[in-house]
Parts: sequence; structure tokens; C-alpha cells
Amino acid sequence: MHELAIAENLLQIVNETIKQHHLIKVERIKLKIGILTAVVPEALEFSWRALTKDTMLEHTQLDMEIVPVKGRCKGCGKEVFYETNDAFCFLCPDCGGEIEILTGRELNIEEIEGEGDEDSSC
Amino acid sequence: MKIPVVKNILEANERISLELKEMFDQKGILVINLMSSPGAGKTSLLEKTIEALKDKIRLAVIEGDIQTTIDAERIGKYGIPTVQINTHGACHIDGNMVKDALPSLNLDEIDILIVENVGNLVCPAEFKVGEDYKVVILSVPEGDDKPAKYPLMFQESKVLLINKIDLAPYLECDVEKIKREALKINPTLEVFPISCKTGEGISAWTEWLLKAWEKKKSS
Repeated sequence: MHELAIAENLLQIVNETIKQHHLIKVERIKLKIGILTAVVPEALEFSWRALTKDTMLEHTQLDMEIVPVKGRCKGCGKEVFYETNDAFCFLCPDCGGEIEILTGRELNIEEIEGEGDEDSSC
Repeated sequence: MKIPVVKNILEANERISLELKEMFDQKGILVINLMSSPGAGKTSLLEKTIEALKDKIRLAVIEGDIQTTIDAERIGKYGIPTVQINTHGACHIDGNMVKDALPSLNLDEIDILIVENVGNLVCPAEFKVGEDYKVVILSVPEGDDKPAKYPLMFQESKVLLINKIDLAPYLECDVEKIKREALKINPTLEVFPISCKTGEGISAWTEWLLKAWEKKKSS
């Protein structure tokens, strides 16, 4: 249940951004969540709702893009794509080399969409 | 308006962890983040490690638990500096918790600091605490399917200790299979089968630990 801690960290970043850009409303927050982080989107959503209840972020939408795991063999360069429910094997199916993970470790905030002070005045 | 932010959600923790790491590096302290599910043998491993190394090296322990000081009391008996962190419900230790625990330790008198994380195979893998290496324990009774089910933990770790190998004959669990499965997730993982009960394999682990410390000291 690390989703609560992740939601707390997210809230901190969003609050800093609100202050910095003088936002009066936040409509949407875009996130990228890699499969390897084992974050449960529903649990993150639940934690976020609990933390933002009765605040200006109460109705903010969390857009989570789930990023599948992709890797490349350090030996032969073969790219390997993994299905979400696969048991991961980071050994190259061709040469047995070590697979470097390219995507799937993301736990990123990408974009915050909102209205600033000036937006509402013009 | 759309504001591109593009940062790791856990950036604040990454920053604190980096500060801690720099401080530990300066002091020449090797830091191990010890993780496993509850009951796999983290505290027992600490006891065995302390018994083996206490005359050779200055160890210190940070004990992380959701509740109680049971583990700190167990380790405290060995007369080495021990600090208990109670996370009060949180399923992992983070950088801030370790930072808060540091005033209770004299960093000039520590060679190796082991942070015993909260028993959990998922969450601790995501939060750095200023460590050089993550070490994961998987005990034989947990089953050989665990590396596949909890890939991040095994992917992030430098060392896997397969504990309770003395129980293997009584269980439908294959130590070699655990090793094979773990190496599929992390081909560079160092694997040591051990038994904290019989002491088997412990010396291979403590030798690795000493070597890692010597390497850090000389760098």
C-alpha cells in the first residue's frame, strides 16, 4: 500500500505548482506509471481522493498512463516487449544476455492542467 | 493552461536519499537496505551478522517497524548502536525517517550501517534511504514463485539471501529454482543460500559484506 505515500508526494508537487503558477483550479493531472512499480491505479486514486477531500483538488482528474515494460539486450541489442501479466525474464531470448530495462519503471508526473489567475480575467 | 512538470513523483525522497548517500560516502560508511517479507529472517540475519563481524568491524542498525521495539531490543543485546524507527502504519522506511534517526548515531564510529526495513516485498523497493545496496531475503517457506510475483524487489537488489534452507527437505520448494527465477529478473544478482538457524552459508554473506565495505573504504 505504498500508493498513499505516493499520493502524498504527488500532492506536495501539485501544491508547489499551484503556488508557483497561481492556479485557481486544477482540472487534470497526467501521470505515467510503469508496470514494474506495482502501483495499483485504484489504490492511488483512492488515496488521492482521501487526501484531497474538501480541497480545491477534490474534483481534479488523475489521468494515469500505464507504461508497459520494454527492454533491450546489452549483448545483441534485441528489443523485448513484455505483456502486463508476464512473469518477467530479463535474459535475452536470443543470446541469453542481460536485458536493460528501457520502460516500465516510471513513476512520473507529466503535466498539470489548470486555470491561472490571468486565465479567468481575460 | 497546461503546465509540463515531468518529474519523478518521489523526487523529494530521491533528493533526501542522495543527501544521505553523500554524507555516508564522506564518512566511509557502507549502508545496506535490508528488505524481505515479514518473518523471512531479517532480524535473525542481523543477529548472525553481528555475531560474525562484531570484533572485526563497527556495525550499527536502524530498525524499522510499524509498531513495537521488539527488534531493537533483540539487536540492542549485542551492544551495538541501534535506533528504532516506528513508521506508525507506513509500509516502508523512507529517506526522511532515516535522516531523523541519525542524531541518535555517532557516524564517526560506524563502518557498516544496516537499515532493517519494514517487512514487505512490495513498497520498500520504491523508496531509497541513502543505501549503497539493497539486500533482499527470501525464505524457503515463502515459495519459489516469489521473484516472479514481486519482480521490482529482486530487480532492485544487489544481493539475494535465500534463508531457512534447513527447511527445504520438508517443503515443496526448490532452492535452485528460487535462484534460477531470481536471476531471470536480475541476472547480476548475487545469491547466497543461508540458514540463520544452523549458520550454514552465513560466512559467504559476511565475507561479501566485508569486501563491499573494504571496496567502499578504499574508493
